[in-house]
Order: sequence, then structure tokens, then C-alpha cells
Amino acid sequence: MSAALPRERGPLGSALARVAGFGPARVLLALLGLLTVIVLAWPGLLTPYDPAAIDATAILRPPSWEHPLGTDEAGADIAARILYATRLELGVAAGSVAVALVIGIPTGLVAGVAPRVVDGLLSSTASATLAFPLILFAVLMAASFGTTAGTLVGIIGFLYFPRVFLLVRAQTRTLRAREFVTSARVAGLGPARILARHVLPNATGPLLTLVPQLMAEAILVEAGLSYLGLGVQLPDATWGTILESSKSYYVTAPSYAIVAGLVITLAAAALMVAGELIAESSNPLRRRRRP
Amino acid sequence: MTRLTGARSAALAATAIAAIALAGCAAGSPDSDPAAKDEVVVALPGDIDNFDPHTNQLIIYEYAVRDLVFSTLVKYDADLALQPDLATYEVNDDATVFTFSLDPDAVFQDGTPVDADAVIASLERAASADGSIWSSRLAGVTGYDAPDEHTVVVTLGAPDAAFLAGLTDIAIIAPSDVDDVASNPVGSGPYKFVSWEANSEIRLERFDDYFGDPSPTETIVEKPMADQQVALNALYSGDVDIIASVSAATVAQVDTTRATVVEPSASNSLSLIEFNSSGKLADPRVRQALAYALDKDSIREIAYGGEGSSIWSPLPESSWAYVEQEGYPYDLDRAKELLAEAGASDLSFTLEIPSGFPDAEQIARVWQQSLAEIDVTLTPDVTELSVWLDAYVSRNYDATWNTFNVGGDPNSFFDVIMKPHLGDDYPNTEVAQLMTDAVSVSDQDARAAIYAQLQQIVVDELPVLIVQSTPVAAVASPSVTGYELNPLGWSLLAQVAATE
Amino acid sequence: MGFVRRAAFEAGRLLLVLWLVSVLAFLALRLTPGDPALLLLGPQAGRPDAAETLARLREQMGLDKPWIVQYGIWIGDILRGDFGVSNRSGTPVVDLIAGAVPPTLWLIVGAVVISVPLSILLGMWTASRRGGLADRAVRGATTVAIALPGVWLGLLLIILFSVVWRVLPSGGWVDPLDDPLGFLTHLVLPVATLAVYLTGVLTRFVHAEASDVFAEDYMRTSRAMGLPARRIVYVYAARNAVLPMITIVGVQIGALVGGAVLVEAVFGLGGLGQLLLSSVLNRDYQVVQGAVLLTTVVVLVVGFLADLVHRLVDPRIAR
Repeated sequence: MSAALPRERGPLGSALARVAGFGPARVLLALLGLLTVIVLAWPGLLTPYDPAAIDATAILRPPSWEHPLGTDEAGADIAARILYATRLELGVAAGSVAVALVIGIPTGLVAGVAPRVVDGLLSSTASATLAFPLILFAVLMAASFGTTAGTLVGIIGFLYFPRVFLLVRAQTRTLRAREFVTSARVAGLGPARILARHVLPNATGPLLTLVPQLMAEAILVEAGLSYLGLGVQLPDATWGTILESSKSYYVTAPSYAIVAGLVITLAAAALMVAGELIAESSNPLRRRRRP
Repeated sequence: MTRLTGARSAALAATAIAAIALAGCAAGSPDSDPAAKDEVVVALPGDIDNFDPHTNQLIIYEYAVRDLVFSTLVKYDADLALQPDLATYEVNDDATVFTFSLDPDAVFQDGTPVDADAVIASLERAASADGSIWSSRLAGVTGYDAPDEHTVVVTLGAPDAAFLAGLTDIAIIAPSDVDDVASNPVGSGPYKFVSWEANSEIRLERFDDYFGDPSPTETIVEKPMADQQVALNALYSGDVDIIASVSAATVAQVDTTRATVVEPSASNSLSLIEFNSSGKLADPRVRQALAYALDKDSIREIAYGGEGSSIWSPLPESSWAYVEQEGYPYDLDRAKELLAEAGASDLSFTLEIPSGFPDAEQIARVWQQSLAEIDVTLTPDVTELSVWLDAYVSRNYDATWNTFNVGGDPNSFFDVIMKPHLGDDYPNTEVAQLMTDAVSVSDQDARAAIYAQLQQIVVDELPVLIVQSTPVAAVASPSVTGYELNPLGWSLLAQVAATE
Repeated sequence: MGFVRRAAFEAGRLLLVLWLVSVLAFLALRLTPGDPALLLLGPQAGRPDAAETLARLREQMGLDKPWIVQYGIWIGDILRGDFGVSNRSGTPVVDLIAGAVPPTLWLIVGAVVISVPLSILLGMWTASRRGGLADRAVRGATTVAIALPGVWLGLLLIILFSVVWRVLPSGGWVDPLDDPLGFLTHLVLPVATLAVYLTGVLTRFVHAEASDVFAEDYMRTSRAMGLPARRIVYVYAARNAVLPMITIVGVQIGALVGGAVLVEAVFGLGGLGQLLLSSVLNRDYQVVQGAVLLTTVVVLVVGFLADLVHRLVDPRIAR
């Protein structure tokens, strides 16, 4: 008869866990983080090529010793392009999350404590934003403000502010009934002070896990928007615009498309795992619940 | 056992052969190979949502629907020579009176005959209706006459040698259809319009009473497929027979064992840069410097797969008026000198590009790189078509890329591209005068001499900068016959047939 | 508050959201550069004689009136069931949308139909083997599944199945009534692309919910009372996971529709996403407004219904 209750860990699992020690995930992430910092600060360290260097005689070459990831449709080295694009890519992702936080936190706090009407209005606006088709919004924003990194940050930031808003609002509502808030109020502290000093710090825990998750999603959304032609313009490049360029050549140069998307996947996955690790370490009970 | 006598067996054999032959004839369609398909599927680069030939000037619409459903008074053949369509014509010496003799067999798809009244009604509609884009072609007309049922006489106020060429775009609509034509076009062409399902397909059926050469295929189905790779794979698997327009990048990827690349005898399609000669780039030396900095060889390789010709003249090589121009060989030092002379050494300007044209973006990329070496900043601005169009029409740009199909008559370039500039940022009276002179006389040699002068001026002063003539290509499955492209890049579909 | 009253309140809130979206779409279109009349006329609109034609076109499209009036006319028409016509082809908006719905619908339904059972199986199976190799492997797989950009996965599948192996078509839409086999082969790759992401998200959710159940005390109690262990595990875990999944899918509909737009673009399916995109680029105001309104209604209604069903079915939620 097999065990009815879930097994804790098979012998193989236990062995692996012992060997892993710190956990392979943490080590890998740390390494990736280090690599990212290097790439952001000195992209030229890892490649001899200028990403803007055109070479009409070396178009769409497959990976080789000379060009480890191959060349693109203008003869530029793909690895160089990807490395140099990291800054803008992560900049857009971070910027979007920043925008989402800047809009979402104050509105979430207010909605958490405000009377029904105000809360209803804010919540409806958040719902409307969630329901509004991203494509329409993105195209119109791009048409109005140009296809720039700034516009992308605005689009994606606006897309995600409801998530931040809902989280902060929920946290605020839960917390405001708690004892320490009630006693603070009795002690005569104004609402703003209470929010800033007592509510917000408690709400930041879950926010901290949300941030890497949102960054991962921002990277993916940017790839999608660039694919539709709404990405940044040359000479700037993001991983999304590189992927978009590669889509016209996937028959004769499949490595181009494969490589372009691989870096996006790796980055998004790394950020998601980082978010989970933060969640685990900030609250041991959370080890069981995954968002 | 009965023995078959010689005569009997011969008779039997003959009967057998006759039976087989008859069966074969019954199975096949009258005009073609017994294995021909009833339906040919064409992949279009985009969808068509407006079927009114007087308000839709999209190239896709012109070859996919207009030229099949409608007839015009005159038309171009595959080499862009003028031919009669609905009518044979006569022109007087100073190109002011055009007499058209209509083909008496011509009939509309609703059964009514194509008579002089119907033709004049269509011409008048094209000249003046709401949103008609061809009104400028007929602006010089002072009178339409119908001396009899089969004759139309058009009189112009001023000589216009290019008038006939202009008529190739003016479709003759059935009088009963005028109100519905945007959604249900009825003309006198070889195919009738059957249906349109948005983003899905357009269906055309052979018109059996067509007055011209009969078409071999009964149904033509046209499907919008913006993604050329998708279209190519559909062609390999047999879902699609023809892909009407492919980019140079796609041509490089075609598996020639499973598909044929179709090219016209010449290409009239030009890739060009239009300048705003009244702003930052007002000094012709600056524009010349930019021309010296254009690495056309790299551009041809990167943007056009090594195809096309890096000409400088605004007229295509196939034109009777074409004169080769020396232009500006790639020379960054000379560019730098000129900029210094003009006092524009750290120039910075924007290049507008409509989205959906990867070749334009590649041109910008190469040019940007070259210019960066001499401290000039080029900022490409790729915008969606409607935004680009706004900027283009209001001349709200420093420079813009554009693509233009020069028509069979050289006047088309000057009329469509140069005229707006002449009235705005590039008011060159000499050019304007030469343009008028060039259409005031019918003699082709005289006209050619004037166009030679015009080309020289355009290349010297560079109100526009021609990048090159671009390759146009289509892809067809190996079993397709009768399919051609004309130098404008139009698919000529009236005689296509495909076998299984 | 009574159940009916709360439902009515919710419905009211949804109507408010819907109205907000309609106003946003209407305004956004008109605030954005890009003139529909100009687009219809094309580059020739730069000629001096075009100004009059442009004015006439704008009048025909009703664009010369003040925005408030235009909005009023549009809403009035909508309430009478008239969604207007495309200002480029004159085809009724409803017809255009009806033609574009099938590919999108099949795509989303296909993805849901595949993902839900698959994620229940995977999630429960790994929850019952917490910490084991299978659990970690599936956890890693779901991370990758969610981290994969949809457009890239689509391209990869096309490269593998259409270019290298040549067994599946690389795109296009076939009507199921015309050619059932073609319909299926054309749908496999797009549905797979969308389903990968959805399975990733749902599996994690099921895993989390089921794990909770497995750890609950009452599980041990039930076992002590002698009920067959296996049945306890799976029945309780299943119900706890599946019920909230209704809400999750309802919530994910919005993301699914967005994802469907990209998948439609990669595979050239010509569905709602493509209709929306092309009509925005053509500044075909009536089509965009109608399409946005209809898709928003569907997304909101599905979410609302999912929530409603969940409340009705799940006895744990207090009424």
C-alpha cells in the first residue's frame, strides 16, 4: 500500500538537497546578477565589436568563432548588439515598474482608507485600465508621443499600476483594522502619518516580491510590443527590437531568432526566481504558498 | 471462337480511342489543360476594404481588384506601353483633343452595354466626386462629347501629352453601381466581384461575356497575408498559388525547388528621400553633402539583397526619357568639406519613415552610421502610416523616405512628387516651366530633351534624393502559368492558370 | 447585504467601468495624431486642390462635429443596437467583428481546454510529491513556461514544425466547416503557444492550493476515521484547486485576449486582435470603438460570471 500522505522527499531528492547546500538557484542568480552589473557598466568588456558597426559583406552569418552568436541583417555582431541593448532593456523594465509604483502606491493607500465613493472611483479606474485593450493603448500612445523608450515606460507602467494599486489597497485595508493602527489613531496621529509610518512599511514586504515579478513581465510585454513595431528606434536597441528584426529571417538564419529570444527568456526567468527567493526568505510561512 | 477481322478490330480500336478522347474532353475545361484548377489563390500583402476605383489608390487594390473587375479606356501592357482597352484612340497634334472609339462588344457585368454615356458619367465622377483621387488627372478637361453611342471626345483646355497615360488609372464603373461601388464593384473587366470577408478573402469569378481575351481560371481568391513567411509556407504546402508581392529579404529565402520567383522586365519602383528644402536642409551644399555620405553599395546589399540599380535619376531605367546621371560617389571627406563650407558641421536632422518598410529602416541605419563618422546626427523616426502621412502632407519634416512607382509616362514623377515641393519648400520656376513644356508637345523626342534637362537639375539641386530603383518580385508555385509582373510591380492576373 | 443586492451593485460597478472604457477609447482616438480622411486620400492629399475633398470626407464621416456631439451620436446609436459602419468600406462594424471573432475564440477556448486539465493533473501530481524531483522539475518548467515570450515561442514552433520538419502549416486560418482537418492543423501551433503560458500559470496555482490541502490537519483526521486515504487526498485537493480556478481563468481572460493578439500576429490568424490593430492603424474610428466596447463587455462579463459561479459553488465563501 502506498503512502496516503504526500511524501516529504524521496531519497534522490534528499540527496540532491544535501549536495546543493546553498541551493543552486541562489548561486546561479548571484552569478547572473554579477554578470548583469558588468554588462550594464562596461558592455565593451565582453565583446570587441561595436554594435552599430555595419558590414555589408557579413550579412546574416550563423554563429562562428568570429561571431559567437552570428551577425544580423546589416552585418553587425549579434552578441554585441544584445550586450549593449541590456542597458535600455533593463532601463525600460525598471522604469515601467517605477511608474507603476509611483502611481499605484499613493492611489492604493488612499483607496485603502478613503470613504466608499472615492475607493469605488479609484477601483473602477483601475478596473477600466485592466479591461482596456493594451494594443489600442500602445498604438495610440506611440502615435501621440513617438516610439521611444519613454513611451514604452509609460505604456507598460500604466499597464501594471492596477496590480500595485490592488496590492497596496488590500494591504492597507487589512492593516487599518489592526490594533497598532487603532492605537495610533487614538493617540491622535493624523492619517498621513499613520499611512507613512505604520501602514506603508508593512505593505512593502509583498511589494518587494511583486517588483521582480513585474520587471520580468515588463520585459516580456516589451518584447511583444516591439514585435508589433512599437519598439525603440535605431540606433537604440532592446532585446525586443532585436527579436523583431530577426523574425524576417527565420528561414535562412534561424539562429538569429533563437538567440534573440533566449536572452529574454533567461532574464525573465531569473527575475521571477529572484522574486520567489525574496518571498521565501522574507516570510518562512510563505514557502508553501506561491503567488 | 470468333476471330476479330482486321476491319472489325480497327473499328473497335477507333471507337475506343474516340470514347477516351471524348471522355477526356468532357472532364477538362474548354480553354485549358484538363488538369487545370478552377480556383487560383493569391496571397496579398494586405487587405482591401474600399473597392471604389475613384477613391482607392493603393497599389494592392489596383492590381488585385481594379484591373480585374474594371476596364479603362486605355491600359498598359506588361512592358508599360500604352494599349487600347475599352477604346482605340486618336490624338490631335497639339494634344488637346482625344477621340475614343469604344469597342461595341464591351458590356458591364450587370448586362448593360458600355456606351459613351456610361463612360462620360464615370469620367465626370472621377473628376469631381467626393474624395476622388484622380480629379487632378482630369482637371484640364473642358468638355466631354458623345457624337454617337460608341464615340467619346474629350477636349482639354491646355495641351497635355500625358493625358492618355493618366487615363490608365480611371476605371469605368457601371452606371447602376455608382452608389454601391465601395463595397460591391461592378465594371466591364474579365472578372466579377463576388464577395469580401474582412481580413480573410476576396472572391472574384470569371465574367464570361468579357469583351476581351477570355481568362482560363474560373475563380480567383485573394487572401491578405501580411507575413511573407506565412505566405511562403502556404505556397509550399499548396494552399496558395501566388504571392503577389515579396520583399528582397523574402526572395533570398525562397526555396527555388518548390517555388518560382517572378520578376518584371524592369522596375519602375523608386526608393527615395524627399527633403524639406526650406528648413535645416535649405542649403543645396548640405543636401549634396548628405548625398556624398550615402553608401549606396552597402545599402543595396543590406536593404535590397544586392538587387536593384543605384541610379541617381528620378526616372527609372526603363523609361524612354531616362538619362544616366553621374551623381555623388560615396565620399565622406567631400561630404565633410561641403558641410564645413555651408557652416553646418554639426548638423542634426530627422528622417521620417512609415512603418512596415524594413528596407527604409535599413537605409536609415546605414546612412546614420556613415553620417556619424562625420559628426552628423541622423535620427530615424519610424511612425505608423497615418502619422507619417500627416507629417508628409503638411511637410512637417526635415527629410522623409518615400517609395514611388513611376508610371509609364515620365510626367508622373514630376506631377506627383515634385509639384507639391514646387508649391512650397522648393519654388523653382525653371523646373515648373520645364514641366509644363514637357507635356505641351506630343513629339516624344522633344519631350525627352526637356526631361533630360529636368533630370540634370533634380540631381544637381537635390530637392529629392533617389536612393535606387528597388527590385519588385512575386513568388508563384511552379504549376502556375500566365502570371506576370509589370514594371510597376503590379500582378497581371487576368490570364493566370494553375494545375494541381 | 442580500445576494441579489450585491450582484446588482457589482453589475452597476461593471457598467461604470464599461462606460469609462468607452469614453477612454473615444477620446484617445481623437486625441491621437492621424486623420482618417487624410488616410483615405493618401499622399495626394498634399496637393492644394485636396483641401476641399478632405473637408467633404470629414463631413461624411461625421468628424466635423464637436466631440461631445459625436460621442452622443455614437452612444445613442449603440443603445439602439447600431454599431455603425467602417468609414473605409461601409461594411457594418458588427459584420467585421463577427468575421474576426472565430479565430480568436477558437484560440482562447482551445488554450483553456488544454491548459485546465493539464494543469490540474500536473499541479496535483507534484503537490502530492512535494520536494521531490518531479516537483522541482515541474516547478522549473512552469517558470520557463511563463518566462517564454509568446512571440518567440511561436517563432520557435514555426521553425521546428513548419520549416525543419514540414509537418504543420506556419499560419493562416481555416474555417472548421470548410476543412475540419485543415482547421485543426492550422490551430495546433497557435493554441500550443498560448497554452504553454496558461498551463504554467494554472499549474502553479493548482500546486499551491493542493499543497495547502495536503498539509491541513483535517486530512489526518479523516484518515484516522478510516476513509480511504487516496480518495481523501484527491477529492479534497481537487475541489479546493478547481473551484478557485474558475475565478483565476476569469481573471486571466484579459491577459489571454492580449496574448491572443500577439499569437494572431505571429501566425497571421486574422482574428479580433488583428482587426483591432488594423483598424487603429487605419483610424477607422467606428470599428475601433465598437470592437473595444464588445471585447471589454466580454472580458468583464466573463470575469463577473466566473466570480459569481465561484461564489455559488464554493461553500467556503460566506454569503
